Amino acid sequence: MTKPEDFYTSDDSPGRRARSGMWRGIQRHTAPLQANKWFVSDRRSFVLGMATTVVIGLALVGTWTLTRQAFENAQPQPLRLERAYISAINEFEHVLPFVTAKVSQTPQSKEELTQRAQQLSLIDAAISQLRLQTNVIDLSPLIRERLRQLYAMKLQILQQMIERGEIDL
Amino acid sequence: MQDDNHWVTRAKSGNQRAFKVLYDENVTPLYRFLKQFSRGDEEVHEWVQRAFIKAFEHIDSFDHRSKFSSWLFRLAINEMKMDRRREHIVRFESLEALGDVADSEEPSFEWHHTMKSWMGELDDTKRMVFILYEVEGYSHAEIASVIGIAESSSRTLLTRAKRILQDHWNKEMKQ
Repeated sequence: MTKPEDFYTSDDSPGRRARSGMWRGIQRHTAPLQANKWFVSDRRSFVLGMATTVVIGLALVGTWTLTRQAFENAQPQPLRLERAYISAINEFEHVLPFVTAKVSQTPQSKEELTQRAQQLSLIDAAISQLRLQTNVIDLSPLIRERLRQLYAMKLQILQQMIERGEIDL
Repeated sequence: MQDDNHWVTRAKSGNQRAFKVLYDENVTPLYRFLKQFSRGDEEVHEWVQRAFIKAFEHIDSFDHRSKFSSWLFRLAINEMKMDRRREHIVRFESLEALGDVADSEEPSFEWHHTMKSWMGELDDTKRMVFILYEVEGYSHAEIASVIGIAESSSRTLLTRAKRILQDHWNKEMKQ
């Protein structure tokens, strides 16, 4: 074996300037490649991230819907009936602003409309009072029956107003 | 001190600073080896840069079974051979002529600095084998892989190179 320092002379080794110069030349070719690698990597991560977000979002919506359905199905029959009443009344009440707007223009007497409005507000007050007295999920059979009657009355009045053209659908 | 494998792994993930460490550790051995085959500094600069650029571009294919320096030498030698072929300068010994049988007699050999001036009389392949084995400390198996020849051919070429240099030395001594 021959030692490298015995074989090579100092002229054989690159000086500092030569080493830096060669590295600059190498960098010119490798730097864009590196940037490109990062870009490709970033783009891939972005696409994967977006796909994952969509999948997680769909999974969450599905889970929430199933949970809500399961919760609603698990509720006792009287509560589900009450929710149906409330839902129906809410739907009617969404169109109530049109009634008040039409009051002065309808041929019906103002007195009749005022009576209906009073009836509705009385029913609402009675419902609110009953609701304040007890918890939603802890209704006694008597209160539940009374609430059903009030809901039915309110629905009946609203139905009559629709049939007589007092609510402009 | 981290070994080459550590820096190669980091360079594979696009870390240019890790690649710079590999450059700093390997540029001098590679440069002075290639210098023995060049006609000027510009040519060596070219080979070194092309070898490192190739290494960076194909670093994912480096499988860690050999040393990084061996792989780099192989890339550099390929660049050099490509230029030689392009210039129609064929200074490589025909390997077919060597046959499979290695020269069995190992000549007694001792390096003398005067021998450096006779290195030019060796063809490129003999010179490569001689330097890689005698100076850089490569095994015949590693040389075979780096140059792309059979291991037995490496032994034969080394024996012949030593014989040529030793004969010159003996003649010099007689005068």
